[in-house]
Amino acid sequence: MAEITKKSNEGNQFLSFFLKNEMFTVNVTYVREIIEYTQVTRVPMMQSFIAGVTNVRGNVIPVLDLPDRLGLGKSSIDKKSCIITIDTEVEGENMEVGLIVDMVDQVYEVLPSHKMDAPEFGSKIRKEFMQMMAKVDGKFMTLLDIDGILNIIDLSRVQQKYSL
Amino acid sequence: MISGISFSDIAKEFREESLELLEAMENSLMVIRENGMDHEHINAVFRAAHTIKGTAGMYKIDFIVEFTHIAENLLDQVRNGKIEMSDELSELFLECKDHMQNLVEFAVVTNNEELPHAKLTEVTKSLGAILSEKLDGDSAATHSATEHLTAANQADFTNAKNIHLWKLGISFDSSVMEQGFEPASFLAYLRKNSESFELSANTSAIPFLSDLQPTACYVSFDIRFSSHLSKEEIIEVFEFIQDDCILNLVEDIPVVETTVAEETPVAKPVSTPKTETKVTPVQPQKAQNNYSIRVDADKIDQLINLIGEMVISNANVVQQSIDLQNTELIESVSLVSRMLEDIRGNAMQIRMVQIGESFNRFKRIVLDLSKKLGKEVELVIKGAETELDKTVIEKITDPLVHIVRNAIDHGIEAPADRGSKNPKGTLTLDAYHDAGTVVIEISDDGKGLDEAVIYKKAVEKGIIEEGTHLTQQAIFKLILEPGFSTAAQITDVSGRGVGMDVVKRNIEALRGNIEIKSQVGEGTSFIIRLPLTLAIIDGFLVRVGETFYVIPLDMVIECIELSDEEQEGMHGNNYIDLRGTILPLLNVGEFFGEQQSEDESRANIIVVHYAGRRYGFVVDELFGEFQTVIKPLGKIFSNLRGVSGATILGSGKVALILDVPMLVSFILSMRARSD
Repeated sequence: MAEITKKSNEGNQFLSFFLKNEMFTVNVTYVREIIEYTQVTRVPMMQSFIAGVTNVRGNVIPVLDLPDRLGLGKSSIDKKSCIITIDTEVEGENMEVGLIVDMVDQVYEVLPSHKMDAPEFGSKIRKEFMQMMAKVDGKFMTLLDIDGILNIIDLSRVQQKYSL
Repeated sequence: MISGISFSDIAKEFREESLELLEAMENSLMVIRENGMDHEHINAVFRAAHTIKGTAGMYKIDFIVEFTHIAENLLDQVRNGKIEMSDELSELFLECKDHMQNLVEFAVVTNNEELPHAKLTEVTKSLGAILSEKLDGDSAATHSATEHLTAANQADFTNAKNIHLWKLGISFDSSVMEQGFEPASFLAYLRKNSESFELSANTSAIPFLSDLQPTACYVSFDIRFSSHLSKEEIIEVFEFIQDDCILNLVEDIPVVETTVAEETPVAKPVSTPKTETKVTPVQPQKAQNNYSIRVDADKIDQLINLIGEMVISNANVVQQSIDLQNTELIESVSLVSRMLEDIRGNAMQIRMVQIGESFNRFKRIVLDLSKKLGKEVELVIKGAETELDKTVIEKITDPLVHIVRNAIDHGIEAPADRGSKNPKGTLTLDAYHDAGTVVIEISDDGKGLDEAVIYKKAVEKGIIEEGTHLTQQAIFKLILEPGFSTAAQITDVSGRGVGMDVVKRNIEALRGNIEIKSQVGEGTSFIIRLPLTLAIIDGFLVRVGETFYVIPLDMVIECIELSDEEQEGMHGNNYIDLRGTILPLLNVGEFFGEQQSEDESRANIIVVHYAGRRYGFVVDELFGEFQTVIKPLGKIFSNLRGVSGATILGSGKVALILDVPMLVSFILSMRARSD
């Protein structure tokens, strides 16, 4: 049986959420918690999809505007907006990152029979952000590739005019 | 039983302890080299070697024990004056120290489960051979010759010092041998230093053979001896095993010799308390030697983190108490705040270490290198008591080594080439505090940096393009680029072009900054500026647009209001007249692309100083002093210049900490590029 994710060994549960009315999912093993949207402090010189930093129980964590990161345009913050915090590892160090999403939906069990390869083209988002597609209960959903989205070289770049 | 402890459990501790001892050993050897043989330091060397041997024995690291044992034998001869200390010998001991360090590291890495590899064994053998040669050769050659010499010496000694008669009762802890000690060696040492020595063994504690533990010590001794050693010196002989034996030392007053019968161990307890000494007197002496506790650095970090959290929560409490307008509450809260500030200060102090320790390491490096290169170099150390965060010191040592090596290799000339200068070159290490930063200066009086040569070389190596205009400072800094080396010949000391870029990288990682000053023919100075600490600072809180920023308070000189008149008087230039001097201004909001709110009628200027210059930052609102707990921003922001971290305000909002040095040099280099 093929593993759906590299990290998954607790079943194939995926958290679904909406970005610009489109459904996306991430593997729950990456998800640490879901918090209500709180004030995010903008950090200058960074690319626009780096929303800034916020305070999660005394820790300052970076926050990404996920729709902006995926090229879907800046998220519009309303009372359904949430921040999903993700645990990941960068160069051997743990890193916690927040992702702004428009609305959190539910957790789906994605069985291997549901999965399909990501389309070669025709999708709005870049291929390295997609792990694969799945069809559950008749609905298409994109399983996002967290490692691709949180590529540190990509994220840490500063705006062109500030780079030396 | 000791064997119950596995090596891996204590490997880290063993390594730390051994390295510390080895460092002490090196320092003492360097002192001996500089100031000649002295008893105190050779004893320190011996003690260090001995303790390592003891510990290694405890964990059955045989290859360390064997090697150290040989070195220790020679050391013992030296300390007894049988073999004379020489530069050659001290060098040999330094080599032994290095080798011991390698052995220790090896044992730790392999968890003492492997035998040393061929290379290590070879060194052990060759060093061991040299050691034994010295030991045999010198003792054989000098033995007969010195026999009467020492006898004569001893006669002198006897005349000079009073010989006392002593009675010593000693019973060892049964586990003393398991601890890696050989009781007989202590007695042998005592005997060597005694004029007469009578020993009787008390064997009554030895059990039947069937119950006998071969590793346990059952014998106790009563010794009558006469020696020139003082009471303290005798007790010192047993210093290593003081926890594992019971000593009972009584001066045997000659007059009453007849009344004290030979076999009267009973005499000990009866003797007057004045002359009776236990091992304890050694303790207070230790207490004077800066009593310290070894604590896991993580624990301190945790403590500082917690205090940081408290400072944040406290800011919240202060805010709430002000909102409530309850005077009594405000007063109590401010009391707590003040105490918290003290606690914070103390906690930060724990992490602070004097840089001198790290500087001392350079004595050896300078000595070895200058000898190897046939140069004469004197090392001058200043500001050794300057305190700096331990983590910063750890990370700065490597870059310093590179700079020092470079200075000796490329900077200071060979004695013949130094012209009218003193043939002996001088290398100065200096450290001092300046405006919330620590400055470390490494200067030599060598040939200096030649702009033209560096420029040409950089073009050759493709680091810059021909015709690029660079300031003198920028040209000097080219030597910090990867792949740059001006040495015509590559030596194994430096010249491979690796190293100096490590300097730049490490210093930047610490949010520090490096400046190079040089005068052809007169010398070069590297000036490194580092943040004082990495955890908590006093800051000044301001607002720019929607974002709050903290500026380190040490950098702030004053705040002034930018009036409309002045703003008009600027005519679009970004500087103002500050009491007769020109103050360049940076509009922080504009520079950071902050959205400007319309109704901002009033602008404020914060005047900061850095590296002897003043700059004005234009901000929207001033809030005043703020205790800032620095939270790292993480990898994502690693390329960000000008912001060194974040902090959490009383309201829970995140504020950014402005890195003034970085921001200034960043703006300067952006400016240089656009020109």
